[in-house]
Amino acid sequence: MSIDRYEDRIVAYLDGELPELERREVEAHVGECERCSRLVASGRLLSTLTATLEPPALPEGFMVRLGAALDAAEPARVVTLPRRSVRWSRIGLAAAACLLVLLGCLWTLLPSEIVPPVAFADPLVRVASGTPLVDSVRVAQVTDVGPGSVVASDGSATTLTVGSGSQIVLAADSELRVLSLRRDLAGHRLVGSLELLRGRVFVTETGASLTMVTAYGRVSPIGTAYEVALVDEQAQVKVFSGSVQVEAPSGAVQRVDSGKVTELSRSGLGSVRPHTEEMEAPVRPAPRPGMSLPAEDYPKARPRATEKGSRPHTRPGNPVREVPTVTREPRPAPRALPREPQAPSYPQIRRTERPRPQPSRTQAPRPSAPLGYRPEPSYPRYQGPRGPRPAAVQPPQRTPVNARPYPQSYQPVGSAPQPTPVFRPQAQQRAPLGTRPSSGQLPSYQRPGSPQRTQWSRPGSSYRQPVQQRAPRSYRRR
Amino acid sequence: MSNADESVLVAAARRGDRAAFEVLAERYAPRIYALVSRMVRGRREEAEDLTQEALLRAFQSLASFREDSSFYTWLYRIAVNRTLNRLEKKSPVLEDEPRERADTDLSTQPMAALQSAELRGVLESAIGQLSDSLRVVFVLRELEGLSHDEIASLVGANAQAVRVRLHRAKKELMERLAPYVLEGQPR
Repeated sequence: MSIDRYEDRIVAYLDGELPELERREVEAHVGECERCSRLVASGRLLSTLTATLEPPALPEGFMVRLGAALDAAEPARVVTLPRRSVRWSRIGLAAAACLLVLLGCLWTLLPSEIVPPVAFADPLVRVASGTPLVDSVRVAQVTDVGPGSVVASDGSATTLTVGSGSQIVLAADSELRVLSLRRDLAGHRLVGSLELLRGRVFVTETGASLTMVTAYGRVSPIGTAYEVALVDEQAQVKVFSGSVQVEAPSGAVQRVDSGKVTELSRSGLGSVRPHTEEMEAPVRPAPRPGMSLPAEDYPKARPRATEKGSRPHTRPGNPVREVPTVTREPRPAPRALPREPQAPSYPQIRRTERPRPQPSRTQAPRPSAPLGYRPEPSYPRYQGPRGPRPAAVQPPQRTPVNARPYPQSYQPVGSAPQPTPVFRPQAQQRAPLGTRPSSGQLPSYQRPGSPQRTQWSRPGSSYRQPVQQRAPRSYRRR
Repeated sequence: MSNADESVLVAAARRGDRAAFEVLAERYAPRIYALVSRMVRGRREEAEDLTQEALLRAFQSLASFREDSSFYTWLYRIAVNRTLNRLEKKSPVLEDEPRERADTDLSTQPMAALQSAELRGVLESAIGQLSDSLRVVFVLRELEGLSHDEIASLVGANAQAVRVRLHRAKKELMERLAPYVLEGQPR
């Protein structure tokens, strides 16, 4: 038997796998062969060393990185859109409702969420996989909307649309950090934690739960619409719909219901008292098939944050990333409307479906619903075919429709057009709160008796002044 | 951690309790990392990456965990499969061609300097120089204690092929350790 053959059998010999006869044969050879003898000794050394090998130690910080990876592993996609300014008058209440619910869901998670946000290694990875977490983001300045991201608004209010409709509205000169934002394990509900760094934020919630953290405590939503403002070294919490639970660092907890306001400060919780401030509904009418919102409902196009000379704002330590370009179908070209010298100061309805011969049946858009539920779309009911609309009756001239495309979710494609509310131009004056405009204030075609009269409120209806739903003036674009 | 504790944690994690999953991950991550690290020749970043991938996969797939085995066994299998896939993408896992040996010749080092700890280092290095197919089998059998059949099911070969590769791996390691066998060492 050649030495190579013995070498091949030495491993089996050491493992005790050889039959007795072969084992004796190998033993006899090993006693005579120096090379095989050394090989056997080496095999025994191998067994000894293998048994004493120490496992490689887990790298330091692995669990921290795993935690961040678990955050990022949630089905998520972040899409950042070009900058847009947003008026509170168009956003506020819906955004407040969104943030409230998100805050509530995160209440139990907060102790682990308040830790300094882990740098989000590569948000674009999240864009590439999973279902959208942040469907559309319209911010004045944005880094990446993910854990650790900071969103700052400059001179004008800024809104983020989160998930299926939750909105987070930052007042002008405010700053918000995303501590976490993910879907629950069932994938149905957004759960997020946000930290208000400065300024004010207004949240409306739809299918989400956002907890707002401040230096003075945290606010968890029970309802759907609230505002948190950092003013004079305290966090003022104002609830417009539903309820929130505020918690001071001392552990003191207080529930604040709709219409109430309280403060969180270093000294703890303030008293709960009613507030009289009325908010303008910031919620867009819920999109319906065929519905397209008028251009006035959207802010003017502003330079994209990624355009030359306009870099996203970042806090120190947050790397500036390119804002991904989101491809959308362009918004259909607006219909040219005849200009009238005096546009009315009140919301008007622009018919986008079948013309109606009786303008008096036209209904002004209802104010957005109170927060806490999805508001009914504020466009007139369909009243059946009524023949062609008189040519003389034309809606007032609107500000030219903004050609900028807006999220496709607000503009269903391929569905029949529906009556569309038309909001007045921003620059025009609103009627005083609680007052109904006199006939003299109406344009000629709306005055009683005028053949061109377009009734902006159905007679006898319980008309609610849209202006009563307006957000505080301080939220409007500066 | 008792089985009951693990069952409670697994059940909680399946309900979406991330804290429960993190407890499980903290418990098993070192073992998974040690396994993966040896399978990928001790490349730290790759081993950490694979360990994290395995844990994330487990986290996302908890709903499919049927609890007909222990959580660790299930997690272990995920880690091994992902590591094998990674190795497969780089080079055929079950190739029998040996890799080039390291540039440093261990036999040139002075024998007296090689204490037991250093010998373990020599062995670690030698294991890392095995080809992927041999190293995976050696690690799973000698360091992880899996049976030939279990290894065969993991690497997609029959048990006899696993035995052959294991013998070849051992023989190669023995040859690399042979220069360090002292003259007076019992044989």
